[in-house]
Order: sequence, then C-alpha cells, then structure tokens
Amino acid sequence: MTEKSAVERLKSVVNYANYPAQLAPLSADSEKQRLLVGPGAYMFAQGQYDPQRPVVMEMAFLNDVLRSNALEPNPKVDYLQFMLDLPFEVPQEQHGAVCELIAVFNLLVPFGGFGLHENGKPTFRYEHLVNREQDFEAFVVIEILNTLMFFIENLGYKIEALATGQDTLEQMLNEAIHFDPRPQQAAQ
Amino acid sequence: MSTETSVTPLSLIELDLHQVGFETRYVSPTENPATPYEQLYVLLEELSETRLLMAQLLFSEDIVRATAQRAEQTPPALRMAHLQLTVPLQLKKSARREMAQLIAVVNRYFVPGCLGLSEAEGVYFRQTLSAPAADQVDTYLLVVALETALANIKRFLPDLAALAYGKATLDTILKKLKQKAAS
Repeated sequence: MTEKSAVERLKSVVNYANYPAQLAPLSADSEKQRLLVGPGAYMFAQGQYDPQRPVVMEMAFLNDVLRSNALEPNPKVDYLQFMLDLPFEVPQEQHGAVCELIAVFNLLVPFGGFGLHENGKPTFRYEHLVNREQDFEAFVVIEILNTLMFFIENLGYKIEALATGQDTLEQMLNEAIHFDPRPQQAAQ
Repeated sequence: MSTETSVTPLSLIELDLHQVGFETRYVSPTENPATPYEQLYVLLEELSETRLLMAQLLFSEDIVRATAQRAEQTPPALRMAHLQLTVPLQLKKSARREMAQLIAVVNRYFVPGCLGLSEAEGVYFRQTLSAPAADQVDTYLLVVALETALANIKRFLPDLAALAYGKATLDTILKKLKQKAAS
C-alpha cells in the first residue's frame, strides 16, 4: 500500500471534520499538492449567506510551495499555511481605512491575520509551525480551521461594509463586536 | 531565571530556552495584579544600549482564564494551547493610517507570522504556535520561530522605522518594497 502524503492525510482529516475538500496541484507542472477547503457560502451580513460568492480556504505546506517553485525548502521546519481570499475588492480610496480596521481585527483573532493585497483583495492567512517531516496533529488542525472560519466569517463582512461605504470606520470602531453562533444549515 | 518553585509549562520552556543560550525573564501570575497570567520575556537582540528587541511569550488561554476569573465566570472549554510570541518594535507613534497601510503590504512578505498595530504597543510582530496542550510545545520549533522572527523583523525594521520617524513617505517605501520583491 502506498503511504499517503502529508497533504493527502490532511484531506482525510478535513473531510472527517465535515468540510468538503479537494486536492489540487500547487502549480501547473508540480507534483506537490495543496488542499482546497470549501467552497462555502460567504456571509455578507450577520446570518445572511451569498451562495454566488463562494469562499475557499487553501491549505499548503510552505516547503512544498517552495519546491514547486524550484526554490530550496526550509531545512529546519515547515509551515502549514491556511490562506483565504475574501470575495470582494476594496476600492483604492478605502485602502487606508480598511487597513486601519484590519489592524483592530487582527488584535481580536487568536492567530493569523487579515491583510490586503495590492489588487484590493482582502485576505486571511495563518502559518501553523510543524516539523520538516510535516507531522501534524489532526485535532489541532481541525481546531485551527474551525477557529479561523469562525473569525473570518464574523469579521470578513464587516471589512466589506467599510469597503463599500455601508459603514464608516468610526462606526465600526465604536460598535461592540458580536459573535453569533453560526446557523446549522450554513455549516459548510 | 525563575525563582518560582512551581513548575509550569512556561517555566519549563524558560529552562529549555535558557539552556540553548537565550537570556530570559519569567514573570509569574502573582507578580503584577494587572497581568494575572504567566509570561516569559526572551531577549532577541540589543539594537542599542536603550533599545532591546524582546519577545513576550504567553499562553492566550491563560488570559481567557484570568479574564473569566476576574469576572467570576466559568472559563470556556479550551481544547488546545496557543503560545503567543509577540515582539513590540518600539517605533515612535506615527500616522496610524499610513502605518496600517505599510503593515498590510509588508505582511505579504512577512511569513510566518504578521505585523500588527495596537494603541498600547504600536507596531508589533506576532506569531502563534498551536499545540495540543501547553506542555506539548516543541521547544525546537519555538527556537526556530524566535530566530525566524528576529531575521524577518530585522529585514523590515528599516522600512517601518523610515515611516515612523518621517524619513521617507509611504509611497517611497512602497515603491522600494515592490522593487525588492521583484528582484
């Protein structure tokens, strides 16, 4: 029997936690793979989901990413990276305000952080440090994934509200942040 | 070194870090009533006689427990451990919005971990190590995390300092970063 690669084991773990997931090559001619978790419906307002705007969490080992780009891997450790692009763009004139809001939100999230691509796409990423053999604890990966999805879902749409001018930064900063339980039907 | 008699996960981490040559200072939960959780300070580098790069290590679950205790509430079930590694960069307070924009750009290259901005600490670096339990944090991985954090901070500190001290404009720094990334 062929031994599963770390990313294949990752897929089993993520599927076990009831997330749909599929493997995809890291680049067109790469043997190394990444795991795409989702798609899940984007929550655009508290408790309201937009099935037309799916969100996908990408998980990959950074050494695999380096190898697939013909770069030297880190000889000491590896990182399991969690990365998700939010399905909207921030207009250039709102970049400053959104970056300020992101700085506040990043104080709330227990690990990782939101960021903003130059093209205006807000993103979230976290690197979970693992050994170079890419060993990981299934339970830890599931907990990280659940936690990240929770925070991305509950804070991501607020970034969009600011980006689209629905709310101002002052309103956002003054308003208490509520985390409501996720409706059961939108669990994936 | 710690003078505490009780052995805790963080005091054991201190022992390990001390043994591999790090200068450390353990702060017990009873040392300061405002911070009723254990903390470990690790010297990363002396930038000058008066400016030290220090990493602060603490388990975020300890803060949750301390907060619940203060509010006389039962703490939520905490199923794993998150060791937070935070390094305040001690930069002069600067235009918050511009610094937030610079951080958002720098964070694209700053892997692992990310920079942040807080009222209390100004610009800081943070990375979190997740483990099944507080006593299962791998010290070897932690040492690598500390070394990597220092290398990355030193790589980007000049750009952050240039903005903080008004030595360059945001646009100039962003252009420079773009060129650096392209090369």
